[in-house]
Amino acid sequence: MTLDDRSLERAARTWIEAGPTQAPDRAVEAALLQIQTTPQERDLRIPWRFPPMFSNRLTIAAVVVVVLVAGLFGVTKLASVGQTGPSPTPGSSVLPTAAPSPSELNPAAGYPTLQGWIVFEHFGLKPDGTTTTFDDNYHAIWLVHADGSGLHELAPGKPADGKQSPDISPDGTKIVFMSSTDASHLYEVPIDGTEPRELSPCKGASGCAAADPTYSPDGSRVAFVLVELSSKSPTAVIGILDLARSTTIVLERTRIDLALGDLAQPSWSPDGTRIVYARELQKQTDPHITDSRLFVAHVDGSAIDELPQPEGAWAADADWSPDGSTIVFSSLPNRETGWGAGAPTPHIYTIKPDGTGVTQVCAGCLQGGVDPTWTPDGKHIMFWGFRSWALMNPDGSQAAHINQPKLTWFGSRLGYGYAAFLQPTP
Amino acid sequence: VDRLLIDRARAGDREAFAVLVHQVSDSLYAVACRILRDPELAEDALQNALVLAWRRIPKLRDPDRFEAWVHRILVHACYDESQRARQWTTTVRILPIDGPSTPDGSTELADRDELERAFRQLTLEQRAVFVLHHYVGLPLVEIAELLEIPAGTARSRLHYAIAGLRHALRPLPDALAQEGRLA
Repeated sequence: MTLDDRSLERAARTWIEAGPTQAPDRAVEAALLQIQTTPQERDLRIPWRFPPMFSNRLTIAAVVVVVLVAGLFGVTKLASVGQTGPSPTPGSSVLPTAAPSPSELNPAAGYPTLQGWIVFEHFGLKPDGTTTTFDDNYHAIWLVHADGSGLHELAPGKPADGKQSPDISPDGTKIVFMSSTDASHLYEVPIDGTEPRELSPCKGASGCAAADPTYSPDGSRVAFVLVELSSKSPTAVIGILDLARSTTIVLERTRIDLALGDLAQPSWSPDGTRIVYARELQKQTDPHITDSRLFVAHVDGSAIDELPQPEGAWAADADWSPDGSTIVFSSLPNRETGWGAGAPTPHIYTIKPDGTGVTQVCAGCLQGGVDPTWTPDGKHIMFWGFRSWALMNPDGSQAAHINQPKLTWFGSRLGYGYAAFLQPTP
Repeated sequence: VDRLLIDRARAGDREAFAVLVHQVSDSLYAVACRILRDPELAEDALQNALVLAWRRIPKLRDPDRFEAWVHRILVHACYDESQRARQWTTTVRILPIDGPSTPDGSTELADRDELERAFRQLTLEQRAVFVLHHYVGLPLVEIAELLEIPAGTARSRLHYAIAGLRHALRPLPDALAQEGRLA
């Protein structure tokens, strides 16, 4: 056989044209059926900010806590073990005041008389112990009083795709949250759990997601992280939704390319003129955050100011104090994956809004120390303290789990619960 | 393909993605069939590719490149499917047992069995480039971009695909002699 390449190609092309040209319906339908239960992969890391904690990791961490509580080692020394990220020890430029010594910590004290609702996320299991199988798709919001009474789930099954990142309104009557789907939406629901209503922060925009909603001090607006996916370079920007008008403005100066990082956890100043938020850098190919800093955006869009980081530490997940004088933050973003597995040990700091007065208020922080928030009276800081929420004074003293152990563990296995907010009962 | 549908699918809209699936599945299946030469494997590759496309579509940077992007996913699904199938089948070397063709074989080359056997002897990578070039009609530069390989690699794969076909289709005595069987 002697054929030149052109003839061979021509003949092969004729041959390759023949054959099936229609996909069998069964293959297409099977794929579509599978897609119904298949989550999308996202670079945004919006819905999955905490990985499931494996039981062996829990066991190791529990041992560390026991050792800490027993006072066998200094808290600071324990906190530095296994650290691979930025050093949590602040440098001289922002040398904090000393954190409380272990002897000042009183994990058993509790705050059983504190009034109001604690609103919190809970993943994997129902914290009332009615489920025993860990479900990765279970993302719910629960409420409980500080004395452990009144534990119940907020609007179970509504929306069906789950809830996360709640904030409670200043008057304590409503809760705003984001759905747990990849295309996150915002919802508002009365605190009694009656029908949630979907907010429309994107209003007509395609490829839009919304995350981390937080009420303005007067409750009329919600600041959130608006993710715009439709452009060739997806971005995140701080948005402000007017609840009465259903209109959204964006603070353009806060915008960041998602290829570089993301925004998180906005929090209003009590006078409603500024919003502090975290800008977290993370390359698309890197599973871990490489940097996190706090910025203060002026709501009129005129400027943003960067707050200094504690030397060698990140700054994330800030909350503005009710009197406006202080911002509390953690050195570990709550969305950082691998928490407890080589990530920096979280510590809690405070800083004045003008960037001065960086103070480390606790080191190690009951092996928790993420997602700190002020109580409405400004007298305490609540934070995720490894097994449950904990409270401490603004200077870091009297750190204790809330009503331990009644609110801890929630059954035989821990589902994540964090981002708690305390408000007086309406 | 509707850009709006792609945006909605990227934002997690399953109904929008279903519409996209119906728009591209015939083309994807046809390509998979021609690369894998097995309808059942092609079905599996199509299904896997569609599910993977759903999972990854939020990471699609350029919606205008959706079709190229989904074809890339399909080609890799074909690779995977072929590997999986290989685990369950014994390796069978197909010999040109029918003897030589006539000297001017353009007509005979249209014989499907002969070309089928020859094509199956190509590597999956060579088949993919051949199908994308001669069936889908993509230029080599686009194929290189689609498969994320250097343009030279795409060119050489097509060259070796043609050479492979020629080798498999050449007269039997010549073939066996080259392999040392008649030496």
